[in-house]
Amino acid sequence: MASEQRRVRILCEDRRTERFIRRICERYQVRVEDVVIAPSGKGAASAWVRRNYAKYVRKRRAKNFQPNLGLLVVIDGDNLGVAARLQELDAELDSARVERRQPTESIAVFVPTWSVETWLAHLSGLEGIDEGTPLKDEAAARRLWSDGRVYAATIKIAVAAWNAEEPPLPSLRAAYVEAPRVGLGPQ
Amino acid sequence: MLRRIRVHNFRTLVGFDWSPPPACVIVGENGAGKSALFEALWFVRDVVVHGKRIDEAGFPATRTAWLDEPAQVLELELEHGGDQFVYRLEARVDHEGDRERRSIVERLSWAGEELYSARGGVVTLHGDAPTREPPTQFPFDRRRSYLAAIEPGPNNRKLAGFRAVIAAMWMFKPDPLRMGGAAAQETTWIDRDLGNFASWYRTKVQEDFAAATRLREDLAQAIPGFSQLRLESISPDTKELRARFDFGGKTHEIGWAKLSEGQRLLIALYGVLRFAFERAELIALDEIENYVAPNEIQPWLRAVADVAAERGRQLMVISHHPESIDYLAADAAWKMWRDPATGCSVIAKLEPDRDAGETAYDLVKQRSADG
Repeated sequence: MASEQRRVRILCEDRRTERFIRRICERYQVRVEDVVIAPSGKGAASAWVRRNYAKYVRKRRAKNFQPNLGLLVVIDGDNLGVAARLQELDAELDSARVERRQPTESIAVFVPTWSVETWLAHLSGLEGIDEGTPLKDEAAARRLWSDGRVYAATIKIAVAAWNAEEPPLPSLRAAYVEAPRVGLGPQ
Repeated sequence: MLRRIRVHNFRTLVGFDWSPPPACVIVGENGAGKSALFEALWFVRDVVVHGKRIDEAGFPATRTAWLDEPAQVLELELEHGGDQFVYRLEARVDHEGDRERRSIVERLSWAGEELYSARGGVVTLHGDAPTREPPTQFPFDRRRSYLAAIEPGPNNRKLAGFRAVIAAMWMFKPDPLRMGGAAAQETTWIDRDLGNFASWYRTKVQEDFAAATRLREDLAQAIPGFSQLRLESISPDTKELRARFDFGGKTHEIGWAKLSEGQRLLIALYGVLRFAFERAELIALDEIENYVAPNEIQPWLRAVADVAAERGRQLMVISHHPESIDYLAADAAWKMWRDPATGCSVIAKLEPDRDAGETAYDLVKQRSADG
């Protein structure tokens, strides 16, 4: 199926992640059909994504499912990292009695670790970024999303750098492997 | 940015006091007072920007039905480019014998200092440096705001700036059934229901070619087959809005009236997005989803949220639709309802339990007397 015909539903934690991922979809001409995003509220946004994961996997596989409509889940790794988050998501499917995703299925999971801000800082060219610590409160990184216009520019740079080279961040490498499942990269 | 709004004696808003966030969705059952809140803002705009008399703008019919109070009060705290404004508008109806007298009482302050006031048909202007200059007083129509009449000058930049902020508060409750295709005249103002979209578009398309190009690109994505929006002369003064579509390599053109309500609504919504919202201070949208499917409206909402976030604009959306509510609740969701004891509107922030996977719409569905 040609990449321009692909569509995707995004399930993610927050507005900042949404805007970044939508721009990546635009770059690969994948049409964003729908964005499902954690509400402002009490508790963890990552927990909200986990809790809703099985519902949207089930929806993707429903009788009227459309083969060119993929599901892209974006959940911060925080202190857990990629493998533990993927296990958590598998456990959600198990407890909901939903079959785990298949290797060729159009369901991709990105686990930006520590968070999407870690990716944005790295992809924007900030040096010395590592996944093991949160970035949100560091002044140098915080400038990248200090206001709406700056954040728009940060996204532009980060999207251009997406998939440009072998990244040092393991969670970004893992995402590049996942991305083709939903048309965001070489098939 | 609207930091705070207080409304008293306006439809169901009695002693209403709210500090709105930068972006939110407002939910609640019909009659909860959501539209009244936007109507109150529109009233201020009508009086301060368009120079309408308070009775032309709806007063006193908009007073709370069960209160017997002569004064309707609207107070706004606004911040713009480091300027802090507090504006209080009191519309009054007093009785002198058998006569009913309507009048406006206003006060505008900047950083705590009074810039302007009006009472009993007398306007007091303090200028931009209130502590250094003696005030000027003169008579003016007691039912109108002099703010709408001021000519911008070196001594009233702050007053003109305040009026510009109010003029950049856009509030819409679109009704595609009222959107005609005939553009009989050019106009710089668009009606709240977008009813005069054709005339407004006729003006805007000549002023901002870049926005017109973006509008065309948006509509090509949003409406299958869409290729162009065109104005055709149907009389020496009047033009008609028409839409061109490409299907199977063939082009056909149809008049505005033959478009579906949903198509008309999408064209008008993308029109205000590109021609108005990029310069807006506040974008307030009231039930925009009627006539269109969720997958048609969400891309527009995403574009509006992007404009608001990138340009630091304020966004408030009234919605009953689950998809829109849950999409916008990522910023914040507020619920309005009527206090069962008093009948007055109240508002509170919804706090979905994210650990439980709860959505804002889950909470909306839980009808409760206390919100």
